[in-house]
Amino acid sequence: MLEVKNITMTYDKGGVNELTIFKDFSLTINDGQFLSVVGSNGSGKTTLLNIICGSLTPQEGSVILNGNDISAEKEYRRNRLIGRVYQNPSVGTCPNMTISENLALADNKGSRFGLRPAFDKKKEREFRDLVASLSLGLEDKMDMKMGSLSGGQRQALSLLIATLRPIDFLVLDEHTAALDPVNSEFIMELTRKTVERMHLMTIMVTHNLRHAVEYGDRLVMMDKGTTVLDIDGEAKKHTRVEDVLGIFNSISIECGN
Amino acid sequence: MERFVNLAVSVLTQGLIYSILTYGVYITYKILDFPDLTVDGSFPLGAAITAVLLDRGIGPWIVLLTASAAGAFSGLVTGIIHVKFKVRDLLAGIITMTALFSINLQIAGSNYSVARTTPTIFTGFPADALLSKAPLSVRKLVISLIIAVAIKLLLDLYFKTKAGLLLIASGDNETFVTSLAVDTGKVKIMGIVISDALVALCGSLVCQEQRSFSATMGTGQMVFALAAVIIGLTLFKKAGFVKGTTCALAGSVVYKACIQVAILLGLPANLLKLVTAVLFLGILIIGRSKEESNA
Repeated sequence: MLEVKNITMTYDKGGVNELTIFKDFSLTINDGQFLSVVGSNGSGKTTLLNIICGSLTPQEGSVILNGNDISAEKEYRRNRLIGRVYQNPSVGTCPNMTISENLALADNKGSRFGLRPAFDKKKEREFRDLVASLSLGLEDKMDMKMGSLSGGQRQALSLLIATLRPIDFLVLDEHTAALDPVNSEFIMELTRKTVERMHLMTIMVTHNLRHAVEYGDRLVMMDKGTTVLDIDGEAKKHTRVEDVLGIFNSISIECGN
Repeated sequence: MERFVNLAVSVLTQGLIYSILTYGVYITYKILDFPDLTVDGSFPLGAAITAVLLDRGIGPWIVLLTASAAGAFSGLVTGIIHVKFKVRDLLAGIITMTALFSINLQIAGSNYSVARTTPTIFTGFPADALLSKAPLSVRKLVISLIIAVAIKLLLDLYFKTKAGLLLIASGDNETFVTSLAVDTGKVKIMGIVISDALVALCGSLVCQEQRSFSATMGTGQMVFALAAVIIGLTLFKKAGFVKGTTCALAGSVVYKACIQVAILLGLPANLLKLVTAVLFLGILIIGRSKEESNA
């Protein structure tokens, strides 16, 4: 279970551009829950992810993962238990390193990066099989530089890399936004399979209302740092895109987007 | 002909010795993307320590390692200034370099000569036993070749380990390294430490070879090594399979050869740094325009 408790987050506090995103904001995500978060620009979606992952420190409030208060832990420490896929396909991997090298590094997450060889034959076969499971034909291109692959291929590998080691929580930060429709659907299907297979507690921020409605078992809509819609279970199953779009348009018009 | 051979041997030896410095700068500049100006201070630091310790009768190989350890420490200082105190990369290096100038003066004064009779790694054990028949210049060549190749192979091995791969990754994408639950700051410091250990090792070799230390011998070493790295990479860019360390080694030899040719053609020694700077600028501009035409 992940609890975000009583968060207050103000950018540039005391400065001319002071901007309060959250005031006493709380959100709880249950084990195995796949939560989709939608909301207009500036609603606080990405800020929320950054607070959970530790890239931003709120003025007040705490983040509790499976009962442990991780608010004081640095970003890199939190990443032992958190996997994250970013919007930009080149952020989740090392562009100048090969597919094998990226996987070898990801495979050692949480362990010591010592003077043992990064590869052996057994590992290489394992990696090949994993990449083959993506059905992108990349298993024969294990020595290709990550940067020379397409956005969709890189994002598929980013997802594989983020979930390669057991994690407690998966963070998807608009991870299909930079892709064309076909790749975007492909990555969403891959995401669903991965989350189901690993029973992963997941938060997905997206601008795609259809993805938010079709995938996941809970939907939250945010506006100006508050949740304006929170549906799960049966109610979520019966929700249609048009329902969500209606609410979304009404809040968007208010802020003039 | 004999004069030419002697000259070639001497240039090659210089290139091989300075390749150790080039490896160090290759790690910070190319792998970590960290322009480490500590080099101009850690290079003479290695030489200063070497001159004084050799004079005290310490074994030349132990001296070599001690100098390298001191260089590692200077890298640690730069790394901590940059990572923990968040001082910008160039400034962090300049701070350490400036401090080292005084420290080097304290260690060895402004000049220090080592007596002809004092054994160095080129004249002492095991070089004397294995190469007793060879003239000194050939001994120097063989020993520098062995050291340059041995360190290159060690580095190549290191880059295949988990730690080495992580170092490369931290220069490529820091966010990725953070996502592996690793503190990127520590990885960066590690890289700078290794780099300055190599730089000081090179300083020690140079001092053992020429039997002297001067407080100004560090000036321009960073620029030399950068130029050598870029020459090497530019020469071998087309052949993708050539390792970065090999490029650094080749770049160092080619650069030293170019300088030697310039001196033979009558370039006054006083203008050397000026020529180095102009040459470096030229390489940067050519490298840039090549990159753009490739893109």
